[in-house]
Amino acid sequence: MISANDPTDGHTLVAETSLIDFHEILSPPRIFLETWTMHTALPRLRLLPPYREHLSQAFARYFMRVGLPSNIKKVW
Amino acid sequence: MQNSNSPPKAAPLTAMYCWKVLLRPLRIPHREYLSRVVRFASDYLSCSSSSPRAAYPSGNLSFGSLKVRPKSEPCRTLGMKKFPQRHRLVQGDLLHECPVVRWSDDPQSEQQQGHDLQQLLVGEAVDCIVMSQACDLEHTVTFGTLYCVRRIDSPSTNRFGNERWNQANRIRPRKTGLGFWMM
Repeated sequence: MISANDPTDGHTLVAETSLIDFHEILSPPRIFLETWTMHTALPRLRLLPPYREHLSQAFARYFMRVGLPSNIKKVW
Repeated sequence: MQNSNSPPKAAPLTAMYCWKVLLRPLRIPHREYLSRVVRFASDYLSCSSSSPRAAYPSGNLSFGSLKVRPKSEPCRTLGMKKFPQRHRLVQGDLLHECPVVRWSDDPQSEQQQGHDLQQLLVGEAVDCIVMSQACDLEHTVTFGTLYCVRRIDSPSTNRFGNERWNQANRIRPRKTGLGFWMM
């Protein structure tokens, strides 16, 4: 369970513990996302540093990986 | 001219707005994509809890996984902060049940030959997280915002997430351990 508190209204926004799947990437138009978020009535959670950078590095590590035809065996 | 630091102005998703602002500057494939997204978003915004979306494969309006609870109940705070919906999008924002349009997950490509590709587009409401760099969102014109789907597991799994990792690895056995990030 993850949560974030808003001191202005005294309530906490809660979401279930989740897995971010790097295999599913979507790229909708940014103007649509901004318009859609303006029309939704719910506040949203935001991942803060350094967890945001940790997630970004994990995504970059997955995205830039090099697949070898066979694994390198450890001989030492 | 709009200041880059100010939040974007709210605009109704009317047909004229969609044509002038969203669809007209785009090329034809993008226009078709966005037309379907706007149609899905309009349906999403117009329906209520008494009339849920029945034509789309996932998502509902109950917001069962995202709820407001009193401050006194204990929770884990993994570097999260609550922001109003009017704040600009930045990297790390969680979008709950965002309407998207994407290709269907039919892996048999030979069966797709001869079919109308437009019929393979499906509309879904998915939970996403924004992955575009904050500097790109702030200073450049970004057409597409990159983000990933986050899968919500059952609350019966243990707090260390071992069962989630095992379940994820069963789904994607060839990419063990690299393609996921748990929060």
